[in-house]
Amino acid sequence: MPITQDGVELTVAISEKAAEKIKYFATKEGITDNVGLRVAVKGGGCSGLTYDLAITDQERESDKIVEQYGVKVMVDKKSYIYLVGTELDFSDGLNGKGFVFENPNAKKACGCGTSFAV
Amino acid sequence: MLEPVISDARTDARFQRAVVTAAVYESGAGRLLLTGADARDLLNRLSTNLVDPDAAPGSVCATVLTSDRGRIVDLVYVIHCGDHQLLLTSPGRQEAVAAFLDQYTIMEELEVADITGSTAMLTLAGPTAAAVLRPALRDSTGKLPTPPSAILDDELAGTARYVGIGEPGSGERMWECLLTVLPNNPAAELPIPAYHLLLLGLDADRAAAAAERCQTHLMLAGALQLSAAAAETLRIVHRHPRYGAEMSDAYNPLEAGLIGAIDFHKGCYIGQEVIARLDTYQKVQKYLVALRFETADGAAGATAIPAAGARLVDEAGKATGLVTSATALPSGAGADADNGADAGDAPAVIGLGYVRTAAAQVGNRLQVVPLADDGSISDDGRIRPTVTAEITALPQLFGGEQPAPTR
Repeated sequence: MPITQDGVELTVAISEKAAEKIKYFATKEGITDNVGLRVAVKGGGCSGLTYDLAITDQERESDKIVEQYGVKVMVDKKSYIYLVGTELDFSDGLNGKGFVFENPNAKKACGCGTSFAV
Repeated sequence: MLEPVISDARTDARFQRAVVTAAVYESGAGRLLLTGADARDLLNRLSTNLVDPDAAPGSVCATVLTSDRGRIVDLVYVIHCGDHQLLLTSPGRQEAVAAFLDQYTIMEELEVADITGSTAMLTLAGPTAAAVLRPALRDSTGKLPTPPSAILDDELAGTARYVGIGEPGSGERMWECLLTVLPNNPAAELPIPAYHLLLLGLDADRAAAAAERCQTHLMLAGALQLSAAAAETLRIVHRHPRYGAEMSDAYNPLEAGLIGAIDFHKGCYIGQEVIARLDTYQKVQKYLVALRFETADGAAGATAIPAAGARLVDEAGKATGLVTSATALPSGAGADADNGADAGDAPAVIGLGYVRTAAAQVGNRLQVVPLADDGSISDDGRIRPTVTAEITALPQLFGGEQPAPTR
């Protein structure tokens, strides 16, 4: 079931805390305008598929884009089918895991949470 | 004059000579041509060994594609040819490997082409293989030129080079060839040189004739030609696991003696979590073993060759393992290869199998429980003499665990 916000379908939803962290990392990379997070899926990781995150201010034609909390989430169409409905949060603290994915498409996930199988 | 092909290793005494000199046969390995900037990076993410994206062209990496349960999809050799990669798969596994790669190709730039049917490949293996190959080598016009004189240096194990191949003594250059020197077992006292010769520039119509003619050239230089059946026997002598027998979705690389093709420091790949846990907590349940069979009265021979799938039990009758491959050799064949075969007059019956970890020790003797339909019960209803299997080695194709990288 796609997640929606104000009637708009989201491909990847991000929490406010995750958005703040993305902006923090973007600033460190010198990006202050059009802050974007590119979310992709690649083959690999313990379970077969793994997430790939990149800070960017460059949109592509093939991207599905949703803006939340001042951050543009950019998902390539090829990755979209693996990610639709995913929520991205940020877990901090001593035992925090950093960016954490809640992916409803994942039937299995590895121990560290960065790899999954569908 | 050329010697005829060795078609049956069990009855042809020349097989013994092929083991201790040089054997040539047509390779059944699948050949996949990988193009695209992400080929090596993707292979690194999908397999057990470090497929270094920064490796120099000409490097050869043995690595195991594994499922998310850590089971074997296939043992493959990744040959870095500069602007493309050549992937050697197990015989008949090229389509399954291509499908596996396709399943995990999402954003990557990668094209996979099956060139098995349109190419010819030979394997030349044995202690004198280098001496056989040398007079057939010519200069290459390819992209990884190496003077032929340097090809046969021991340091080149685990590398590939383009060379020319021609008739010994003629100076003629007939084929451009990608010569792959397979990685050695670093723990082996006497590594057995093995070369794959991929003949280039052919098509499906000309591949078979070229393979036959190239084999003839190598036979003129001293190699003995093996049939596919005799090559299968040689594989068992050399203790190489075969997909469908010792490798499959039923086994993981640690069980199959492929720990030397696992990099425990490279990071994640599919199945890594399972394999790392099995290794860390020493939970490997069974191991590949080399076996020598004898009947209870000490005899060996054709009647004592167990069928693949025959169970192994201990003295108490407890299930301990199974036979995966078995063959008989002429007396003495393979003795110099330390395969456990007797050098005496009796034919040696040897094989490979899996045995539970607690029983997987060299010298341990087990009983073979024949399959119901393998002729173990004679026409008069009597059970034939029991066959004993002695464990002669725990083969590790690429040696033991790789040392940690220096930082």
